[in-house]
Amino acid sequence: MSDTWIIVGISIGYLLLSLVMGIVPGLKVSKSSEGYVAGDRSMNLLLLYFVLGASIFSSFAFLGGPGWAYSRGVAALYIIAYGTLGMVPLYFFGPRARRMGVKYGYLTQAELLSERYQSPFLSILLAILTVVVLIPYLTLQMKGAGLVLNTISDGAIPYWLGAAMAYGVVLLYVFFSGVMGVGWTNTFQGIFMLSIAWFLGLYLPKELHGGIGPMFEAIQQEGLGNMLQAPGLQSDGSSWSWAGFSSAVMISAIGFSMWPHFFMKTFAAKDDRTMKLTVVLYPTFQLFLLPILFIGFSAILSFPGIEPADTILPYVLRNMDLPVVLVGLVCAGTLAASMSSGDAILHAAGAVFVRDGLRKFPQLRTAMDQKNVERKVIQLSILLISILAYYFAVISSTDIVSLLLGAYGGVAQLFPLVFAMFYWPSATRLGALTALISGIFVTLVFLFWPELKPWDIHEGIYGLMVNLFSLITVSFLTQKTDSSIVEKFTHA
Amino acid sequence: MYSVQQPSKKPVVRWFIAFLVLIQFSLIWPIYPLVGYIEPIILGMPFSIVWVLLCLLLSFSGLLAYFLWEEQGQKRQGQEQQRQQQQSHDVRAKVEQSKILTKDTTTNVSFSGGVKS
Repeated sequence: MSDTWIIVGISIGYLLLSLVMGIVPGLKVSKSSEGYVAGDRSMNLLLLYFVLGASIFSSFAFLGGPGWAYSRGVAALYIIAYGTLGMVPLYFFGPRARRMGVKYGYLTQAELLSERYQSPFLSILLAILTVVVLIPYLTLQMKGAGLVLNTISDGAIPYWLGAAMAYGVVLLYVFFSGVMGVGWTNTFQGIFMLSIAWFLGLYLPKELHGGIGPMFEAIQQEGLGNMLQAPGLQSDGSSWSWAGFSSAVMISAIGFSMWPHFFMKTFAAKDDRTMKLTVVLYPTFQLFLLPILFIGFSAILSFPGIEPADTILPYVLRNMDLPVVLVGLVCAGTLAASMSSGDAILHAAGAVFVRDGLRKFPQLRTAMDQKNVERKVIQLSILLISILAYYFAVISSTDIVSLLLGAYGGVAQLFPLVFAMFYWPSATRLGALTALISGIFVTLVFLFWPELKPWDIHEGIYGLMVNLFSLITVSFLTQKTDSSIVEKFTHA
Repeated sequence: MYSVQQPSKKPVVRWFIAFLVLIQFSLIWPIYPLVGYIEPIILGMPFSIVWVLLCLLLSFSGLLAYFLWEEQGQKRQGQEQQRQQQQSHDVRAKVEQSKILTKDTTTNVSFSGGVKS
């Protein structure tokens, strides 16, 4: 019992530290929307590196990553494979978007797109899609946090309380500090979870098998060599096809930089150099997934048959005789992974909903142009969104998390629009709208009716083909966009 | 205007993008299937894992090299501009000087003329 309380105590200590780290930096930025959403465009390399790094590594990294390696072997490398180049588009788009942000006051991705394609409708559409996708994403993070606190405390902290504790803290610092709260906590949480991941990833193979080499040797000797042979297994245990693996990596790499909570951080960068250097250094963050996968590999032989595979890390922690302080730290590290994504998602969902959705209605716009009203509306939306996500995480039994399945395929559909925004002057409003809508439509059709697919490749790829085709043909058939607007982007 | 200013930039950008595409295809079909086996084992890890790590390392080095190259290019461009400004400044100074000189000579002339008369 006392062991449980030491673990819970460490987790609560971590939560309090996050709270302080989150509240203090927000006091320094201005009270405007620009301060709240983009940190007065002042983020340095350290902050931006951790904001972008830690917000992608969510509770999926700590729970799903080992789960994949445990049940599907090297198929889990898919996560490293798509992240290797997933960030690179921002090397080219990021500085341009940032400069336009400084010049015209943009704070979100949809603001750029709706100006380039001259379509407030596009902006509202993107706002709705963003919120629809980010709420289940946030729900998933809350579930992760609740699960971890519940399992580690041996049920002493109920699931609903665990989720409420972790996300109460997140709500507080996001509500008061905006993006700077996200920035500083992500730096702290990022360093924390990196250390924990490396430690565990090296410690568990050593403890269970005597090292990484012997671990892989043992897996091979037990006749599980097909797990180590690329591209690994599918969730049903059969070998994954190369078409399936390759298309999944492709679509995720394309979608990676298009996530709204990710792309909009380009507006927070201090200068072009910071933006570019963040992209350059990003693979060092990717490397942290390696020890995470080792955790999963180490459990294959020692703890066979655990279902669902996502619970393998908490299971290992409970069933190995580990020092209690270590268990506490791992527990806090998992919370850090969940919260460092959850905060960025929550913040972006609120900001996008107001900037790209509500603001596009003229009456609301004039009301929000008064001093700092917009900031308050964003804060209110953040509060409502977190309540809604909590409702889905704890109270409702609707499985909205499966919505996320289609998310990467859907998000990737933004890529042609963003690319054409900067590099293809002939793209038009109708071209962009038909491309986006048809791309998402096709992706969803193949997601829900996979038996219709002509080949076994990711549904997002089909969406992308239709998307590109519509963008090009419709753009050639419709009236060109005013060149003065297009040039703002192509010469940015 | 962009391409006129930096005539040497375009081929490098093209090579860089080709490099990125190569890395991307090394991580999926058709290159990864050729090498994604367990043997040879390096540092205790199956080659399927080592290969992905190599690609990660390579893309990191490539990005870093491209970043440094771009930064150096900017510095060079900056120096170039400074030199040009310096030169035009020198020219202007010379023009100014010669103006002063001519003014001096004219005054001299008028002065001497005045003396003569």
